[in-house]
Amino acid sequence: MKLGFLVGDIVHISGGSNVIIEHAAGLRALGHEVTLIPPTPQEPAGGSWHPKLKGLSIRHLDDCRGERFDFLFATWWLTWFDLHQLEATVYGYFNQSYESRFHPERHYKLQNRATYSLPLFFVTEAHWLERFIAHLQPDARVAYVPNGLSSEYFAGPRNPSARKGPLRVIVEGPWGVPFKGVKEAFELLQMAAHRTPLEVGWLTSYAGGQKPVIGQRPVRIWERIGIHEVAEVLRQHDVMLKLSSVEGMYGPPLEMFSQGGTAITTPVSGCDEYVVHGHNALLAPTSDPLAAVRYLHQLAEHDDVLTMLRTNALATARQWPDWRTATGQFAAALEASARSGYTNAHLRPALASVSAMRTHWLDDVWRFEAEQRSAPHLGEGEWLLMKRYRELKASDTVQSLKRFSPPAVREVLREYAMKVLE
Amino acid sequence: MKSRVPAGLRVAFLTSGPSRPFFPLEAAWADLRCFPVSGGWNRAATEAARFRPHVTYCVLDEHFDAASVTSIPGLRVGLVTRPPHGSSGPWPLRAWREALDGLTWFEPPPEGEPEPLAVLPLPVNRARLTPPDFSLRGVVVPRWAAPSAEVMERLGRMEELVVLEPGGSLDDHLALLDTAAIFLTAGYDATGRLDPLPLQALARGLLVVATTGFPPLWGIEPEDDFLVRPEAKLLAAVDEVRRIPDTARAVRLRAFQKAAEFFDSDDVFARLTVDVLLALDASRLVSSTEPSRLRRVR
Repeated sequence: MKLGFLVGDIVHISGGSNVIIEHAAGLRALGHEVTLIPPTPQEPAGGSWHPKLKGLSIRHLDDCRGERFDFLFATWWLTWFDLHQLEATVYGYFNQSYESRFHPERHYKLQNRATYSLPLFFVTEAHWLERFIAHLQPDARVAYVPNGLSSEYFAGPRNPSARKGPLRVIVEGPWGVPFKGVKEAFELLQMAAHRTPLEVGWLTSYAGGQKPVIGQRPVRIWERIGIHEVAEVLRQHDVMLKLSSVEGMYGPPLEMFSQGGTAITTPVSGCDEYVVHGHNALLAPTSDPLAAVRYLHQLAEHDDVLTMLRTNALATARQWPDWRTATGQFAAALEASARSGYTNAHLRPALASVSAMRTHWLDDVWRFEAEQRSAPHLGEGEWLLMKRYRELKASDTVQSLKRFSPPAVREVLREYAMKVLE
Repeated sequence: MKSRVPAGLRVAFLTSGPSRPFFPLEAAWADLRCFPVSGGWNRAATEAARFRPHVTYCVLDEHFDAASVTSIPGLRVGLVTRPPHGSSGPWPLRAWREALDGLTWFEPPPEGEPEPLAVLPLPVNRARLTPPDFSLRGVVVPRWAAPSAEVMERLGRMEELVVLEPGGSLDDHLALLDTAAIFLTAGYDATGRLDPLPLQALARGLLVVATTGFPPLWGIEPEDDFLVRPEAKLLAAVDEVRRIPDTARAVRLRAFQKAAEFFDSDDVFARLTVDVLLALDASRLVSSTEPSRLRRVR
């Protein structure tokens, strides 16, 4: 089958891109013709972060016009508005998160909600999203396909490694993205370090020049490393601290599990796919920020609890499907749909209408904003002065003077006033 | 949120108030019993002791008798669910400290009070709740957090309006929430901090429209899970939902889901029970990992 995935930024490190690349590579290996379609040409110069990116066909939107896809998927929510530009038998939405939550601005949230307005062929990786879409769009087809765990990059040890010395904690996530909770993680680690010696590392796609120090020890930073190097870093730690507040179905704790480590994490949406409190990890509610500190103390003090969590975490990762299995489920959903003769090609005009409406609306907003920027800005005091001036100008006295003054005199007075004001 | 609690655990709740909306009355993860203290703490404690619980949650009130609960075997956890000050002054928390192994606060405790085992919002018993019914209309407003009379008057003209009166029973108020689509509250305090109804409305998938946000640490996201509007724009928010009902569908669904993710009492107390064991009886938690003794909840 001919499959297209509309993508945003594919050349920089992100968990969402990793999932798309793995599925695209897997579907290609199964004999499908797969194309990744960014809106504009993208040079995969940074493609080295994911070895499988090199083997994939990447062609930008304009290059694909005139072709017909059997399935065309939007991925990152903004790509939904480009679906109508290409012809497809089935229009789909590979929905990895409720991306409205990435944006504080109301207008983005409303636009994002529009991406759930049509009964597309949805594929999603989290049960909470599956339920959300099914309630929101009852006529849509929704397929749940779990994310895989790479057996190539995250082949795990037989047992958790033996450990001694301070508790080794790895923080995961980029700097400067508030809902990733990285700043908060370092603050809590600093609190914990007052009582419990810690050895802290940071695995990040972007450190923003930060060089955190915990308990007077500098944090060891791994920034923008290739996916094939991640397991080695994780193996050097006992526990991952991951405090994000917005996720679809996150992968890093599962990757940590695969290397014989456990995690302290938040009960964020999607965690229930594999995290079980007190079994393979500890869930620190956001309402109780000190819970993570307590857990760090307890894990440092109870080696038997730490070993239990690490052992169970490793077992969880072993039971989790690899990418071959996960992509097999993706392919099976597509093939079943194709066999049934399903099409939603008739939605193309509706997709075009929603996109056009959004574009017109955005044009108006930007034009309005540009006009606002170029218009002189008056403060409250200036408005008051202006109001008083207009009242004076409209008063009976001034109006009478105007009526009885010859035009030439009024012109001279106006010129004089302008000179004084200038 | 899933937790794994050692199999065969007996858990008791000793509580005076109407506990159904906040605490699980039965659970898959433990043999769970509730002992009402309306007949006195001594009587409830004697009955609870016969149950031989491994963990007992005491929902503290001003009549709590610390001496009586010492007869209950196992770990005893105090839950402080409302400000610990009655008409006769502050509750004797310090005196109770020795009788209780932990105190659970639903917000950070006042300075000088005992350190908590955990801090949690008052959870929601979602056992009987179903996804939101989008065919419902109507607005519910609690009198104690109502907007101005002018807004109320215009609201009444715009939409079917139900006003919750102070003094009404919690069960009656919850039954009225089940008949509406919008819960509107115009308090000055953080929404839901001292009033359990906003969280109950959220859990029922009502569109909560509030003049203040929920406490920031609760993780309830404005615009995605509920709406925050100044009083002057409350009517516009209700009007928008009437004219474009689809804009509220996603918010109401996420409200329902968020309550399940963070505030479901079944999950909250399973997690808390693991924490109690982790803090006070870690060996029981570790020994429970033998496969035959494992039980996965939910």
